[in-house]
Amino acid sequence: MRSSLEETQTEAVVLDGPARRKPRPRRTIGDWLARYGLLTAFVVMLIVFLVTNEDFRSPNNLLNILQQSSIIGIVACGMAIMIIAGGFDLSVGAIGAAATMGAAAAMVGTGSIAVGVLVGLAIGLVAGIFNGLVISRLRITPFIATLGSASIISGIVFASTNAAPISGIPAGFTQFGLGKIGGFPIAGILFLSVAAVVFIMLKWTKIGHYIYAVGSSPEAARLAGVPVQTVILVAFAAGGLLAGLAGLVLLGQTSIGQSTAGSAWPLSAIAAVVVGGTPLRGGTGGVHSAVIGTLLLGVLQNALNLYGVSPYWQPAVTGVVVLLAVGVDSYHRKSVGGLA
Amino acid sequence: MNTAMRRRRLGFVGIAAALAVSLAACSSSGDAADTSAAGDSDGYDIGVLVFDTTVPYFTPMIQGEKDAAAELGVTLDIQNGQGDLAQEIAIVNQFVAQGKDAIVLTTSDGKGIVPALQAAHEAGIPVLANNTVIEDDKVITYVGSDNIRVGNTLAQGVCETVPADGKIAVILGVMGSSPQLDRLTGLEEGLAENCPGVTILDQQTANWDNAEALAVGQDFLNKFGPGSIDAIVGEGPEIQTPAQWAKENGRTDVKFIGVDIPKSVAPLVADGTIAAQVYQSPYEQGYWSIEDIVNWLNGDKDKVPTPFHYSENVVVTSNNIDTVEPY
Repeated sequence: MRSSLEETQTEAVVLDGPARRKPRPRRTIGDWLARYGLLTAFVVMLIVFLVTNEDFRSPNNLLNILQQSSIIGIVACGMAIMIIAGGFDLSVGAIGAAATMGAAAAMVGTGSIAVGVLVGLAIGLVAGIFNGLVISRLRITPFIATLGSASIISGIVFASTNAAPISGIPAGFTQFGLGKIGGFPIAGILFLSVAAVVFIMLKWTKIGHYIYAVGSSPEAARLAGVPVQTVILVAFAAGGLLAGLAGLVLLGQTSIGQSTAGSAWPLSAIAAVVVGGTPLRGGTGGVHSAVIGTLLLGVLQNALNLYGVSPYWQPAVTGVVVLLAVGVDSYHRKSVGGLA
Repeated sequence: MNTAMRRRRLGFVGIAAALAVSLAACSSSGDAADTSAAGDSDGYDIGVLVFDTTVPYFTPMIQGEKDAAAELGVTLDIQNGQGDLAQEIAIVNQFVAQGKDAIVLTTSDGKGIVPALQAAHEAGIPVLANNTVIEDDKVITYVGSDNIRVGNTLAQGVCETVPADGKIAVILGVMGSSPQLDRLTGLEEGLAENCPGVTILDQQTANWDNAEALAVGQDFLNKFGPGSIDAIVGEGPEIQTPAQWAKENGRTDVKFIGVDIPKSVAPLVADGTIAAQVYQSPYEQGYWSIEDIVNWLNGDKDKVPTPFHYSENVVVTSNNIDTVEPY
């Protein structure tokens, strides 16, 4: 399905610009770089850090990076689905905070971790379905729809809790955010499992293929018999559910339900997906971008801390590395005649 | 994307605020006469602006204001600035237009709010700064904590906890914000004065965020192995997450010291997971701000400490955690 989509795109390019040069033969170095350029940049960066910094290469540190990246990683997996479907979600932070607060309140109230987890996931799912309905039925653009729902969700959380943080959740729940199985952080396992499930869904299921079709051209998808509204609903419901799950991991890591948490999630998750190589225009890309992008940003942040780079310089260094990585990737894509 | 949007919104609200200013300027002289009459008859009507009522620290502060108002028999009109300067300006103008007897301001921007206060000064409405210093010498006084003093007290906590040649790393708040800058200045000053042998190995920001503080704390603990660091010091309460993590991962060689005692931090101080925490009393601060403004309105101006009325900061450990009220 994916390759047939690529063919469709190539055709579209030819139609757009009939004077364009012929496609090159496959399997050239440029072709390979276009496909794996960003991964290469990431691996090079990783090797440099592994060789030059002994704190960085300690297994504990590498596992910490995975654990630290897992929250944004889970959000980014959901964001990748929504971006491929042609949208994005600015309310993931508010949904995450609402899930954190709801789960904390439920756990403190009932003393049951299971109830809290269900409440957190339910909040994420309901908020995601709300976004999906607003976008697909009312035809409000995702930017406005999710900006609005973020405000509504934050407002409801503030009003129902007086914005006071909720503490006193069962101690066992911190395992969810900080615990390890066989030395491997549970949060990291969760992140990679989510990525695997999303990968399977996008690659091998009908709904996954529909998501690419709708993101590529909703009108063409509709004409081809794809239930466009349902597909958008599913994409945003999945994004909301994963934001709720990320909220639970946050609660596990911090033990405190905080209504102001997650404010940086939407931009961080969108950045991770785009840095990882999935363009915002939709219809193309994959969940691998969410994983690579999140880990790249996580590794970079960790290395900057370990090298003791001044906090005043860190944003500038991060910006340069992101532009370099994405720039190299995008340059190679262009040079093989693909769409950047 | 966010900034552009915000700027546009600010622009729009700015226009609205400018309109409100001009309207307020037209009406303020007329209303001022009404106010003094009303104020004499049935208690004062005081406008209270809090820039963001969702900040947990402000919950007990507002409670202190309400309790003081109830005891002193005055009416409060508490408004939420929603963390937006333009909104705060609009509320100040509204207070002036309504002819409040006095205004108690907890602003997010002690410089940006100053032009808006001109109308209040012209109408003869006294303005008191609570929690955030306002850079306007016509403001009658400032009630609250001084972040440099908070930093000094934090240094005191560090000096009492680590050896004379101790080594620490610092987790900072939002870079460039005044609590971040002033607390760091106060910390450095206090260390130089009380325990000059203590060195700061590293400092990184966690933006007052629990999850970010956890990551920065983990990175510090990885970078500085057992024996090479004595304490991790935070500018805020978010020190709780790395403290908890260090305890669960056997890094009890490192002590944790931070600022503020919300309810989630109190048990960690009590069981020693956090060695010491600086306590500022938001309740006392709220109470004092109303008490001071009422004294001022009653003509007892000498009872109001000026230009600063600092609340007390204390170092709290497991020994004296029972003496403070977490929020």
